[in-house]
Amino acid sequence: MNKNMKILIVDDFSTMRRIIKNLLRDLGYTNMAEADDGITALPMLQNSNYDFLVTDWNMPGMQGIDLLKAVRNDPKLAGLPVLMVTAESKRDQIVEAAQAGVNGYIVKPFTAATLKEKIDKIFERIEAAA
Amino acid sequence: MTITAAEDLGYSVDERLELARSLITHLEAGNEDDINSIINKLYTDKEQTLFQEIGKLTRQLHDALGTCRNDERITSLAERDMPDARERLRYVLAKTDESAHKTLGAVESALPLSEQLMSDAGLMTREWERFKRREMSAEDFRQLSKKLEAFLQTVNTSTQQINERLSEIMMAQDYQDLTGQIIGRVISIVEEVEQGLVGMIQHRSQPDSVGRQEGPDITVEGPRIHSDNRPDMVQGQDDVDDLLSSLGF
Repeated sequence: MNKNMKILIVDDFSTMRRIIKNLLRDLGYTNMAEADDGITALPMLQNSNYDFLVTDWNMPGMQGIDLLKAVRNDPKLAGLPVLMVTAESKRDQIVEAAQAGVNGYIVKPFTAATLKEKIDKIFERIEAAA
Repeated sequence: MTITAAEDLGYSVDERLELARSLITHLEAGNEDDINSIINKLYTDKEQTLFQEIGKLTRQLHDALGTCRNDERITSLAERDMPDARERLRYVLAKTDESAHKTLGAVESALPLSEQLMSDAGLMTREWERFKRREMSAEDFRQLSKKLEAFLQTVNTSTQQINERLSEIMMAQDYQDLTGQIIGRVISIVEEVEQGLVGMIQHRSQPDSVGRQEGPDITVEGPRIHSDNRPDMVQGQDDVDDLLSSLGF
């Protein structure tokens, strides 16, 4: 897995963005940017080449699920791997995210080990498909 | 309720003065029938005004009661949202308590490790200085070499353990996001209650002009606070993984 890949972390809580950023740094990733909701995230994704998107669900402005759908509907971004890290834990919501094309789903509170496991799995699958 | 102003009565001041004058005239003349007729006129006039006032008040009371009963949003706020807000705030209390203890626990277990490293390093530095000043016998140096080896071993394991504690402290800060979402939600419930109450007050003063207050549409759930009795929610990451793998993930 490419440790230099460019990652966008989207969460409305700056504390959670810092936690995720620190965890990713622990895993060896260094190229990270942050956004606080879908409205700020989408143009960042469109105007720069990101390799991985980690997003919350419940955010003011544009929610994570809508960001995911916007990404899948944008021909340039459609293939971007998306990991959802959210407190939303209704089965219907997880199914909705899966149907919208999410690559991984983590419920908060989560552990560092879970984050590593899901990221590894996402990229293993992508490499296997390539 | 007191009726004192002349306009509260059916007759004007002039009309009442006129009635009073003719009452005196009839009293002096001893015309019983006319006397009774005038007294009745004044009496029923006052009575009618009183009934009108009671009617008005009854109508207001009826409207106010109707507003309470009809405003389902207020009812659902009281029955569902207020207990929900209480439950959510209890979760905030539990979560912040848990995070604070996790943080304190990690600090308490990391502090002795770093204190030990500090004192060992001080000891090693003093011995090393002695060696550099050539104050050390060959035997002393052999001892120092052993101690150094043990010290380096301790540095390795202790810094690793301290790192783990620091990671725990970092992860414990997730409470800010989880409780922040909940507090935001409780704030919106409080705002709704406020709107509802303002709506009721406006309703009372302008009976027909204010419609029902609709609450904001809540589609997201936020953190699990009582997932043990919510079959529609997952219990944790394992449930998420099971659900996703059942969908072919």
